[in-house]
Amino acid sequence: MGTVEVVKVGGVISPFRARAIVVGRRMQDIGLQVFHNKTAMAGLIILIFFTVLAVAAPLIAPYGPLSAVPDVGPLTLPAPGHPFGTNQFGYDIYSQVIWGTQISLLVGVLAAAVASVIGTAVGLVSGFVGGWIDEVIMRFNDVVLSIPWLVLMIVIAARLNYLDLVGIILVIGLTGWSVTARVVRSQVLSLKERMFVERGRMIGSSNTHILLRHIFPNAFPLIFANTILTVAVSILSESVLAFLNLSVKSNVSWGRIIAEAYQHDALTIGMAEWLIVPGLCIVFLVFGFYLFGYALDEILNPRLRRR
Amino acid sequence: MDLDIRRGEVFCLVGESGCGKTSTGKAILKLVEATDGDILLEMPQEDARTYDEARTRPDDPRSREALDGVRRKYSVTWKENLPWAAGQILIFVLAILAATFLAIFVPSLALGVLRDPFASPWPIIGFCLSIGLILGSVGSLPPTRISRRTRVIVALLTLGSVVIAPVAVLFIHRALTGDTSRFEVGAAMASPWAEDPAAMILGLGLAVSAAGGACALLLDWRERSEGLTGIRMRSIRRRLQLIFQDPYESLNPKQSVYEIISEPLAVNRISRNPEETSASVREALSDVGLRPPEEFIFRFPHELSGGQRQRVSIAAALVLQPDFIVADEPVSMLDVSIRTEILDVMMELRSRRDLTYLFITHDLSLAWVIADRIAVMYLGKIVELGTTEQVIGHPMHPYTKALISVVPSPDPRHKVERIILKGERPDPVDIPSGCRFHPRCPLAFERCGWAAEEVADQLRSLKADGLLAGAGDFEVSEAGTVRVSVGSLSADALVMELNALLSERRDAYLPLKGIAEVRAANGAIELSLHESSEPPLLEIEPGNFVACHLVTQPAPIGPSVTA
Repeated sequence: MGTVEVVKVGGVISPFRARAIVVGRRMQDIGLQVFHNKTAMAGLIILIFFTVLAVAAPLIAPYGPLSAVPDVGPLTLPAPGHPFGTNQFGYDIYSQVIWGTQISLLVGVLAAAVASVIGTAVGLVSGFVGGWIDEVIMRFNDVVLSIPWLVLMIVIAARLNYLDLVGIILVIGLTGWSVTARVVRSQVLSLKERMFVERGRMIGSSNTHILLRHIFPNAFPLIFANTILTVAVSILSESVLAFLNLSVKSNVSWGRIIAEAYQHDALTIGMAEWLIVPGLCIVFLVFGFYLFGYALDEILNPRLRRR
Repeated sequence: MDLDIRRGEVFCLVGESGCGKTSTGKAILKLVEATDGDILLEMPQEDARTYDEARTRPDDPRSREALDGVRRKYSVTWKENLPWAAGQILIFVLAILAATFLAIFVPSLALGVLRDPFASPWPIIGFCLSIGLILGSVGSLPPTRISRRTRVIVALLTLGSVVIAPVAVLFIHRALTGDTSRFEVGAAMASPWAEDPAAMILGLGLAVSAAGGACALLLDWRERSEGLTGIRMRSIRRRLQLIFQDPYESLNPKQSVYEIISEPLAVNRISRNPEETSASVREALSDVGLRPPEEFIFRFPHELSGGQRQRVSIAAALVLQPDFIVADEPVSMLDVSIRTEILDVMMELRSRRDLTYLFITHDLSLAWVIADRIAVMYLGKIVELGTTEQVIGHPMHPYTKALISVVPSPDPRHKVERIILKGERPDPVDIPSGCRFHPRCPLAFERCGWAAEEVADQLRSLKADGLLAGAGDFEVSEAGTVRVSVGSLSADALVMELNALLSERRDAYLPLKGIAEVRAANGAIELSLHESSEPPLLEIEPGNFVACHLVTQPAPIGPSVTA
């Protein structure tokens, strides 16, 4: 800390500008620390690689995710035009893996966002309000925690028949918020005893103001790092759901590719790439999120880690 | 405890850690709920006299009435306990009826809307009523959260609900039926008026009365349930501020100095525009000696030194232009070299802004430097109160004397006999009987409130030292006496020995002073104890109050040991 130059600002300062300067300085500070942290950088490089892959999929992939390679039959072995071979419909697996990045990233990030928003809201209210409301919310949370989430997801997904993209995101997001809620709640419980909250009361702030302006910003680093880790879990969940054939057939994600490879005995017919490459992609992407998430947690919440 | 702090003075509350100084300060600011008693603000002299007078006669109904009157005017802890008036009960009953009506009819109204939006006037009247209720509850929120502008908007919306309602009804109808054709907003709004003007006027009337009723009812409920907390406390808060002890903990680490200082202005809606806020923040910063303000305005607390943080803390309290500041050990966490600077800033601001300080400290030398009046506190009670001259110059209470004697003197030739208090500070949940200071008081005598347990403990330890070898066990009886069972000596011999011990050693072992009588009874010896009471806080000299039996009692009474 302290590596960032002190900003000198003259003239009129609007509340928005004040906030922007503060956030800017904080981002700059965190950016510098991430840059000097080897773990964070390793994770970040992996994430940037996959993000570029996802965004540039239309440019990189030679074929669409659901379009057959011309002049090549189904289940052909790897060859120069189609490095990982073609699947049972004659689609290019190499292209499918690249397109799959989009689905996996999108579902992972959005589902984690849903889970984090719900978990944060529940945790903030529960921890800050306390009393019987906290008790009720936490018991409900215990119930959600004790339901095996994978089974729950499978049940929900099966009940709704095939899930489209939004469905997958909601199912993963709605089942994954309870851990976040617990983490946030415990942090809020400790934050609300801090002296600056008392100062907030002293100057006449309402509870909402204290919650949003004092407690949330202080809990935010933890929430953010936690969200990054949730993304990794969400990506895995998506793969599992796709592998179990619970998502729409048109969603070409890595999990679906693996499922198809598994159904067609990819290993015995000599198409190991069909199974291994998307698997490795999942492993690397999740690994990248874990690396980045844990490093970020260390940077953002230094005192928590040391304890 | 009873404190009166006069406008414009520096009042110091002195005591050891854990004696309740901070709790007192926070109770005054209503940061912690006081269990009992009154906190009266800005009370003129004559009302203060009425209050004091009425309090001496708590059973007289007229004085109780006077007390309630004073409390209603000045107390921050006052809660209205009046019975409900007939009009209020009527409003309440009507509100319940309206809610029941809505609960029963809203579903059927919604169905009606689904079939044909303007077939009957009731959906529109129902909508007007709901809008009125919602707006009324918004309008009853505390005044500091909602500005006057918002209130005007709420009122206008209530009146406009007759315009909004038909449109809302039509929108719901279209949404439910999946109708996506174009429609004329003007025609949609005009058609209910053309079809059924009486229903629209009824709707308007219901909306306005619902809004007014809901607003009045909720305000009333707030006042009943929260007392002054909700309604007036926010405006009072502004004028009372606290300077925190710990400048490291009390500033939000995620806020810049600018945000910390401008927050009170934003929360209380004091400054009207960013220009004003920036100017106030700069002024507050330079007032507390952080110059130039631009240098500090966008630093985070961790980029400031301890002294600078405390200055920011003071600036954040001052920006609201308070009249009364509770300073809770504002310099105890700071380096000695910075203390004077901070104190100088505080004292300079006092003369410039006509502030009143309640200065909470454990440091008597600091109180001596800055205070106009000092109250010395021990275990939640004031033991001595007076001007600085009276308390420091002529301390009356043994506790004050002990505190003064241990203040280090810069002059090595100036030697004072230090009075070191024995023992630990007692547990505040188990406060000693009689004078709460007596177990540690070097001057404690018979009437200070020795309890049987203390006397028995002392006798046990004497026996352990071999002084009362002939005695058996020491037990505390239920009547509050100590029973000594007979050991190797006979009862009469033991009485002799005890009496001898009392007359020789009572000055060395103070608890022995509590024994009033030694008496042999059914094979054992009963030690009865002196009567005791808690010393009241009495005015010894004008403005100087002391709570000590030594002061109120001319001299320690002589030995009254009889066989």
